[in-house]
Amino acid sequence: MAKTITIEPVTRIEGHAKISIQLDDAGKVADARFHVTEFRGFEKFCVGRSFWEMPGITARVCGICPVSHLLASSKAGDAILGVRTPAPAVALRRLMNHGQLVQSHALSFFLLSGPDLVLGMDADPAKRNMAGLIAEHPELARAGIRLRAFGQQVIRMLGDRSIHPSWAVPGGVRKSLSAEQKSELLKQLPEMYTTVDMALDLMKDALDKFADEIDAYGDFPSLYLGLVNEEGGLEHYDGKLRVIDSEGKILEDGAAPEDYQELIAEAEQPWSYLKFPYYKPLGPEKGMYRVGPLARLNVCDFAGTPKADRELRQFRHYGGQGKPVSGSFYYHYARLIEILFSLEKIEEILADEILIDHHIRSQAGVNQNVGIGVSEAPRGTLFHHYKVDDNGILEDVNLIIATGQNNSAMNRTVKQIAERFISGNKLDQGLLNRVEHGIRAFDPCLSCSTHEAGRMPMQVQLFSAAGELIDEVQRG
Amino acid sequence: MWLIIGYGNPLRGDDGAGPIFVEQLRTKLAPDFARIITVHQLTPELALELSRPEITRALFVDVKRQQHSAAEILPLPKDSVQSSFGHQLQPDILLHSAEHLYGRPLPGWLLTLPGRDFSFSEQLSSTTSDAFESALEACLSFLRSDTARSQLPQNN
Repeated sequence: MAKTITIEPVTRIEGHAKISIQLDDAGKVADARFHVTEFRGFEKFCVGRSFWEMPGITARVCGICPVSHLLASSKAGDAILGVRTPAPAVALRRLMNHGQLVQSHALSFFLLSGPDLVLGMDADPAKRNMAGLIAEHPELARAGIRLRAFGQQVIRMLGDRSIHPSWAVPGGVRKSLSAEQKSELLKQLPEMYTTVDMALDLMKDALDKFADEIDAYGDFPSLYLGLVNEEGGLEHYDGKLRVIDSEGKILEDGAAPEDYQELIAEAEQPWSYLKFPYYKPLGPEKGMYRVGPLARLNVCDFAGTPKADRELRQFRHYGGQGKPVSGSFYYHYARLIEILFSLEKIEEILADEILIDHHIRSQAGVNQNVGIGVSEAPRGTLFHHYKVDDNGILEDVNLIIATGQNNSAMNRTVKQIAERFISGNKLDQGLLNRVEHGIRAFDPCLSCSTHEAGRMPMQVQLFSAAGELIDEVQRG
Repeated sequence: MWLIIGYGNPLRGDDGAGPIFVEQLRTKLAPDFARIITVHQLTPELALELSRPEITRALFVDVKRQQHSAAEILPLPKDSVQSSFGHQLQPDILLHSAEHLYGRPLPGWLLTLPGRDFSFSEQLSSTTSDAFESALEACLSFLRSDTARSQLPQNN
């Protein structure tokens, strides 16, 4: 009898989602779906607003990566103004973006995925969480909290607050850093490097510990998309788009971000509010691509900073023979390398004398009716595309977010895990833990920005084809 | 010294009541009596705030649906963590973190205000705003009460 297993909600991700796994009559996995069940509507309700408001409005898309939206939106605004953003403002925006990468990746690695990596996939879910991590490895939790706090501090120093800062604007930024603030950040960097070293050791232990099952966590051929700089190096703020295939062959290089519509199309499914972007020239099936830390490290030729490049060389061994690293489990490893890179870039920017220059904003009116802003968010490439009238009132808005671009890959990952670990018709905690971890490897950001006292516990239900509830597991 | 954290999203109607409430509280309390923080959501690094040496007690202020009284003040569990974990945390895990990561076992309470409308708005519903005056009174009375004082950890 065909059955559907539903996992709802998926915990330790941002937003609300559920997973359903359909079994066929023989009890084998027929399909798996990652459903995003919340509707946001930013693309609709922003129409009719002024583009000047968009950095502030779209930063509210998310409480974890507001900086990414702030920057992509400001860059779209730069294009509408048709001005060159002053170099000190670009340096400051890059600084905030690196602060964002540090805090978001630290949260993902240490506090959200850390419990799985340290305590194991078969650990009791009641203990496989932050409290369990604190009990078993308090030093790791402390270091992770400090690292995240450092990233938040970078954002707060520039934007006055770490969540939803209203700081970058079309044409530049609102304020710079003082000498005291720069000094305060610089003196913390040695501790932060030590923390990443500790985490890299832990990660390498995890690669050994989970060696038998790493290939079940979303290891399949796909394309990869990300920004690279003019020399082909790792890039998070500017640069050109590059797409590579599963063999490492470059399919697109030097593509201007504003031409993204020639590369990306979006499919929709009736069972999810999340769209399914794909590489247009190859269609929805063959055009499935991944973005984010794993993709960025796969598409770049080098990182461009000493510590990150050293680690990147080791990372590439997991791809083998010049191929990209294909296992989604390696997103964790890639996040740590990106934290290292961001710390080095923060150090570099803080030492740059360009920050002394106080010209941080260019002023203009509407000079272009279309503005496209692209940046690399912690979870992947983020596109903001605005069309405005001559008064700057928005007529059309398109946002392509990283989690959407990983949507097909996440669905494929759930299916792969289910195929490996499902046995019989009985729900098994080990399977559920692994399915959740497979999703968590992508660190999806489904963005709910409201909360109430009390949260829905995890509920897993097994239904017959006729809709009859035949098994149920609850957590919390 | 109290650490008082009001949390919620000020763009989602009543969800923003916690931050607004503690800002009103700020005008009635001396700076050396309470350190007051407003945040959109509770995040792990707030454990660092709880671990500051001058902090001896914590009060979290949030909103709850289907609450009929102007304010509910409940002690937070000391020895068990009951909440789930995500990109945002619940107060009990922060207290747990302060104790087990930084050796700061603090008594903590959660004050909830009644909430009704959590849609996009910067306005509070009448349900929530009408509760403010009584809730402020109850809160101030609680902060200075023997109940709160008697829960001080022995090393303070």
